[in-house]
Amino acid sequence: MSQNQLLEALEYPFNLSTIMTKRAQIVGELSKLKGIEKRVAVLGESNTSELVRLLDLFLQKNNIKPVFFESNYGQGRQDILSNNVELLKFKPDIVYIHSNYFNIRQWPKYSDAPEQIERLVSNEFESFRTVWDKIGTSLKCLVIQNNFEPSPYRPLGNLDFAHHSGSINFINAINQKIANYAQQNSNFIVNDINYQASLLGLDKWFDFNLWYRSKYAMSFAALTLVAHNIGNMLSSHWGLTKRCLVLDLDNTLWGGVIGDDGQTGIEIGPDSVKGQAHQDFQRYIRKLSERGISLAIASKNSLESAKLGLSHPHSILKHEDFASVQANWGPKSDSIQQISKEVSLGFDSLLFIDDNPAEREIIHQFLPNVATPNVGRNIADYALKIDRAGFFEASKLESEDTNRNQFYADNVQREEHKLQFDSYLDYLKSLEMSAILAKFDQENISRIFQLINKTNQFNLTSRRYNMESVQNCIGSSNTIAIYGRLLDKFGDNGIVSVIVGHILEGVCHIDINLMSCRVLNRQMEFAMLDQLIEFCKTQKIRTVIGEYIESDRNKLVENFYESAGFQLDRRSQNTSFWSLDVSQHQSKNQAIKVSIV
Amino acid sequence: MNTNDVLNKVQETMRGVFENPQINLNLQSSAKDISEWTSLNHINLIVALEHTFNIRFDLGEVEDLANIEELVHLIIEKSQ
Repeated sequence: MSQNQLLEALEYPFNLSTIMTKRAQIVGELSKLKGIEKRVAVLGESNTSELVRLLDLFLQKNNIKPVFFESNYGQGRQDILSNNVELLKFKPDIVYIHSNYFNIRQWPKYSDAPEQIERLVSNEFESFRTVWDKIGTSLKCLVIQNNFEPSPYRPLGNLDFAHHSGSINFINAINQKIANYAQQNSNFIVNDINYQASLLGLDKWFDFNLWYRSKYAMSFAALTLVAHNIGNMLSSHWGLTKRCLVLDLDNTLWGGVIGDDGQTGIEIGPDSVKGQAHQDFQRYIRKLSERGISLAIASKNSLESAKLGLSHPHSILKHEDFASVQANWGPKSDSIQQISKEVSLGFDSLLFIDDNPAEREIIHQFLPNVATPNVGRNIADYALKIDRAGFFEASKLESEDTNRNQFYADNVQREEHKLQFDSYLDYLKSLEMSAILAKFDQENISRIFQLINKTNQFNLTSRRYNMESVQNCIGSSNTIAIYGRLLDKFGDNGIVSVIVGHILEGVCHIDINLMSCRVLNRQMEFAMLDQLIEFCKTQKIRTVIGEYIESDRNKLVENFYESAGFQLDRRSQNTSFWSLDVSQHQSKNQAIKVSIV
Repeated sequence: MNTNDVLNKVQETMRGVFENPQINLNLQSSAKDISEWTSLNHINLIVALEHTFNIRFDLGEVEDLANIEELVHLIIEKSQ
């Protein structure tokens, strides 16, 4: 079996036979992938041994190398409540609580009054909530919790949904409480098995033979779907999901060939069967764009034709919705390299959708880190193919995400503005930039956490902090932790930079120094450094040490400390250490007005 | 499918699930002859066989099989 076929077994809708009988070969292929090591505790309320083996595959596929802690059968929540020493020592990065229908302790009776049933709902919910709260104070890590799937039996039939004592009504009430909890707790996300079970179908989701034989609470097909979803959620949490959708035009965004058929000849909109499907596909893409996914075009067309197609009255997406438009006759691998530069994202953040298998193959050959799913030939399935694979899984939705396309639109204006100036500094000054810098605070902690865990390019050390470590920076006397927001005459760029220094024996070691690429070359990085040094001066610190750790994606900043006036101390394999005498520091920021809060 | 075909397919499935290409089955083989055949692996083997042959074993049918011959006959019976 080829390498591709082996790894395709892990793509939705999955090939369970291959996974079960060729696992050793699949593991062999996965071991060639790079990954970040993460500690994953699986707390089972039922048998989890197969789930952990499947999770191992799906996490490795997503460039996460997991180390597992697995609770003994049925001991999951007990391990938390009783402070299991092994689990505390394990120090998980995340805890996943694998529970479902079988863990409902008390179902309503038909004779129960609505208030009694409300109490039962509360009891079931509280038995979990105490565990989540406990994790919040003891392990302080991310929690992934299943909601509940519909019960397999309906003694009342359809009335089980609407009647206050019905089993489906009961499940839905508990699930609502879980959703409410998630809305109030940033370190808690829900694995929606209610949706996954409906996707698979309840008859395939449950396998009661497995429950009676070995206390597996769901079928292996269901466990595969769960492992896939957990893999995507963790990818998202650690910033490894896709961030830009690169689209072909002809027979992808519309039916037909714009260059041949002209604007009136292409199929888009309610007037034809395929035109409706293309328009709905565009609506789906619009939704992705509204939640912060950047859009780009890689098309073999003239730019005029591309614009003509996008200005079709029924086209949902317009030219200005795209952060980069590459319409030319060159190879699409060149176009995608250009897109990667223009949107400041690495290849592994890109997803390429094209109806033409030959184009997908070229990208697969030349840019293997760009995802090139086989979307098939039927436009009616395209949105589903993207949706089911979970490329754009979101573990949370920040206002920074939903505003991102506004940032890009503002950037287009800034670029146009730039053309009017002779010197770059004049241009920067004309942007009328101001920065607001502050020490870490509770109010902005989730954006700070997101930046630390998702920034790859302008990131000197690529160190990731869990929520606890970010919290610990607040009010600490031996840590200088600053975030920065940048505004200019075109708008607010939001919080775009974080710098963290640890003070050790009178020396400040910069542990994190990162910036969002959307404000590259604006001198914000120097404004941040200046402020760190100001804080150092007030604490009588004479030396600052900076570190550059090379990764696949941060070449951009290899000379940062040199440009900031640091001296090279030493260089090892992939790390260089730089030092600066605080009294010698000269500010390199000439364009940003800084205020401190 | 005759006994031999089924036996070969069972052997292939077992080699994959138990991650041991050296396993050789005959009709008299049983769990005690194959060190990987633990109770946990047994469940995975049963699920894999159900997928391979597109059948479903009832509760009680695969809990105490004496040897591979019984399993092969059960699969043939289920496949008809």
